[in-house]
Amino acid sequence: MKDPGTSPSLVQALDFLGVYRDIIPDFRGFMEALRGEIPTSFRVNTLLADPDKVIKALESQGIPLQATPLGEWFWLAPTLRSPGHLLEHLMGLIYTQTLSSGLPPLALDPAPTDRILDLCAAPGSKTTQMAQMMANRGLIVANEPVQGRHAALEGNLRRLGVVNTLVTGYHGQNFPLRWRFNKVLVDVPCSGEGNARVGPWGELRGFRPMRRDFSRLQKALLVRAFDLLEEGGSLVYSTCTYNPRENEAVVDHLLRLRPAEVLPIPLDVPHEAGLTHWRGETYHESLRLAWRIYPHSLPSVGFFMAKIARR
Amino acid sequence: MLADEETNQVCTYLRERFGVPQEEVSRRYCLLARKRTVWALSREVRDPADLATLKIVSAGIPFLRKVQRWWKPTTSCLRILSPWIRFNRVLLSRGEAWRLLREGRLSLTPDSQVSDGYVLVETPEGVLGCGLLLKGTLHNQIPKHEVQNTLRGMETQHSEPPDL
Ligand SMILES: C[S@@+](CC[C@H](N)C(=O)[O-])C[C@H]1O[C@@H](n2cnc3c(N)ncnc32)[C@H](O)[C@@H]1O
Repeated sequence: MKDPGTSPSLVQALDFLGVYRDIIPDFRGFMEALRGEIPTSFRVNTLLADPDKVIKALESQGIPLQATPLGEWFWLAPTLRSPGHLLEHLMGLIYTQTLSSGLPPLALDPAPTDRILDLCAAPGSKTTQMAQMMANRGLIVANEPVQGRHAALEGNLRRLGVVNTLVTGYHGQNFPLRWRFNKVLVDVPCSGEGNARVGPWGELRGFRPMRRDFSRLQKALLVRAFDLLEEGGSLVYSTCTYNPRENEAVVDHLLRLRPAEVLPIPLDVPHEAGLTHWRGETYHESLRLAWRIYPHSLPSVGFFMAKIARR
Repeated sequence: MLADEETNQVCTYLRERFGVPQEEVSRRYCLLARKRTVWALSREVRDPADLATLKIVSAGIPFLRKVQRWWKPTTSCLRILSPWIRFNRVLLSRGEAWRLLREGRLSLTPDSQVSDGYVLVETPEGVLGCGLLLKGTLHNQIPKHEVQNTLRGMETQHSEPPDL
């Protein structure tokens, strides 16, 4: 094996992520944490499963499990390569989900009496988690405009026994304003940088850099999500990228246009504060309350989320 | 929405075949018909009349299908009704469950609690799904693609293979 220190492909990974050197604390630890695969984790689906029974069954199959800061539903299974082949998965007792992906629903905090819109829903990781948090009560509208992704979304709803959800197919930015929701999840399409890993030669893996600029669509989705909120309602905006132009800048855009307020997120999970400036741009002070998730503090993918209220 | 008469037929079927109390179904679920499939949506969905104003792709989950003149429960239906299903349940070991999935069928020793027809198939951990029992042989009714996804690559899975 070549010395990674001199490999040109390592330069490639560093070249790409190096732009974030000044905003990611302990950047060396960050790059180190990106080596190897994304740690496997799953959620126990309490709509169908008794968590104790499922955990015992998995452990009795010799699968080492670790508790996580996300509570008793989320588990890390560091040696498990693909939970999708477990009987427990087929039976809808577990759902493979990264820990970062579990955070936006926890921040939105759905209750059984809520009427919730999941504006960008497929394949339904967060929809099914919210249904679980709502004990299959209330209502979720799971919206996904890409028809080819409906089968995965509906398949997950079926497998996990979710009955409080309607699926719609609007482009989120045009979701009809006739309805209002008291909570909205806006888990937008993004550049996906948070999935990047570093291979044995230091090469970038699990992620292909794109030229596409997502921020226009993200801004349109967030503004529409806000307009769909009842007064006093709240939303969570999330991405799996480090890029401030897809994160803080998008929320900042909303704060300039609408009576929106960034709220603290009362969860006890390792994170960094959102940014108030980057590369000559200044963002609203309250963006400090947003969360940046880095893989060296949570064994998962890179993520961003902000909780926002409609005043 | 399903007409009252058909809702009644569904509830009667579930009561007679599985012992599910009629009111558990009608109290919990709003039943909707699309082609030969009945879908179940939580009754708690507020303002169902509003639904008409949105373009809905699907509502809730497929619950039963009409196969010729007969009702066939879906795997999801048996999973969510499991706490109320009193008979026609078949309990398998994990090894038997894997064999049913791989081979599509499994011979069973006779059990007086179970009669020919659709049955709930379970393991000690939870409900596997729907099976069809015919003359001592259990036939898997879980959608093929789901089973194939599970079986594919199972050999390389750290935690299995099944104890056959
Ligand atoms: C990050 S993924 C969502 C993941 C999902 N929330 C989950 O937890 O499983 C973004 C989704 O947005 C969808 N999408 C793309 N364009 C959209 C649009 N204009 N409006 C709403 N959703 C869109 C994509 O097809 C994709 O399924």
